Amino acid sequence: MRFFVIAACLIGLPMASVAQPSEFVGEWLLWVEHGNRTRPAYGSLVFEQHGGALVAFVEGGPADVRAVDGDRIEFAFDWSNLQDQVLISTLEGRLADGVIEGRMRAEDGTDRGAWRATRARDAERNLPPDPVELTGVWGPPAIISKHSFALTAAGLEAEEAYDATIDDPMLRCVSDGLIRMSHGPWHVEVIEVRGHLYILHEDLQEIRRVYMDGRSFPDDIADAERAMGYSIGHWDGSTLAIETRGLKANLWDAGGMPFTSAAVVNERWSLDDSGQLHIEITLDDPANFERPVRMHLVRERPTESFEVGPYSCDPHGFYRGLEFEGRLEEYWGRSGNRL
Amino acid sequence: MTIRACLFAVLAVASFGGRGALAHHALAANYDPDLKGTIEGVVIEVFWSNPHVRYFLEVVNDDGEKEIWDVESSPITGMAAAGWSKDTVELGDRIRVSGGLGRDGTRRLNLDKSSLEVLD
Repeated sequence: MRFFVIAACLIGLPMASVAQPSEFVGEWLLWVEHGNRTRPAYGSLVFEQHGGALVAFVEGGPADVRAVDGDRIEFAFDWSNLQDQVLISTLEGRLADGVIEGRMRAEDGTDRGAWRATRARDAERNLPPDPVELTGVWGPPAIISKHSFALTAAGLEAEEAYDATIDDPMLRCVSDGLIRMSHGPWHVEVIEVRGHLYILHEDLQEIRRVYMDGRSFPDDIADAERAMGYSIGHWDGSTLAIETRGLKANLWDAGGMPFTSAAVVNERWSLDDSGQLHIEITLDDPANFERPVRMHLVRERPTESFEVGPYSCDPHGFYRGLEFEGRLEEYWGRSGNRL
Repeated sequence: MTIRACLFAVLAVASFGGRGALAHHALAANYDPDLKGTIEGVVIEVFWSNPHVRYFLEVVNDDGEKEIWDVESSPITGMAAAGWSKDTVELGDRIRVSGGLGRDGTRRLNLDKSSLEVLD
């Protein structure tokens, strides 16, 4: 045996604590050195075992597990940059001491920097309330911008019918809704008034109210049709848990990922030891998605004083552009696509 | 596209699932990521407003014909961060700007904020 251990070390065989694929299973917080704005970004990473095979999801969309060998893993996912190019990044890493770390490379083999996955926070649920201070201004999140998702036939049809150049509600200064607004490159400010939380979004000056008094959803919530929905929150230990229903059917990304008015969004807001705000978002909309979409955002306090102020939005430039391009008739004809 | 690249693309679609439209970002949807260009013209309209600041330019093309170009940029906060204000470009200015060109030959330019030259 002694001879074998020495020989194994010499030839580089892993002898101790060889990881099994099952050790990757679970929810992870993914950090990449270069997100879609070429700065560090966070996202959700989930590994599941299906029929003995390891499958992965990044920001709620399918990723491709290409190899698992002991404590080493290689997987890839598609994402889109700000120029709308769909790119595929391959992540190679090693699991050690509960952390997966490695390097990420582009399709042409170019190194895209480091990545790391740590076990998702906040595993315990149903704890006595232990509120933490969330009020104040939070900076924009850095996102990974996953490209594809497991859409149902109806979801795929809705997404294909969408034309981002003309149907995007944001172009008309119409609210882009709860999830997309949460992902956007904008600040938010959390204010507490009489026990309830109000979230002011820099984007379109949207205001969201989170009821904290233990109420139930109104009976007619299915017909509420609110851009930011009707949100009820409570403290689960030091995590703010929010459930939102009554959303107006909309998109949750600019590329046309749809959700219906029956969608339910659950969020868990928590602070880590460094003061970063983690927001786990789970979108459950079986009409459009084969499985709930799990996302993870991280916001930080702004380094300089920032006031969430007026957002001047005027759709005139959009209509003027359509006129110059001769697309106004097309716009009027797409009334059925208007969100 | 090489056969290998083609196969990779097919495998990628099979692995990640389908998605119809390529457009993922509202601004980028109008522009070809592989086409860059420079235009010169007179500013005939200014929209210093969200969601995207826009300028409309009258440009004389190579055939001597006048064309209207739609120069689109970021929200006001992004413009301000790059040192622009509503007075940086004014009606009647003759400017030269570069950026991404519109898809399918549309007369659009996604402004590179560092490219501005005010000519007169």
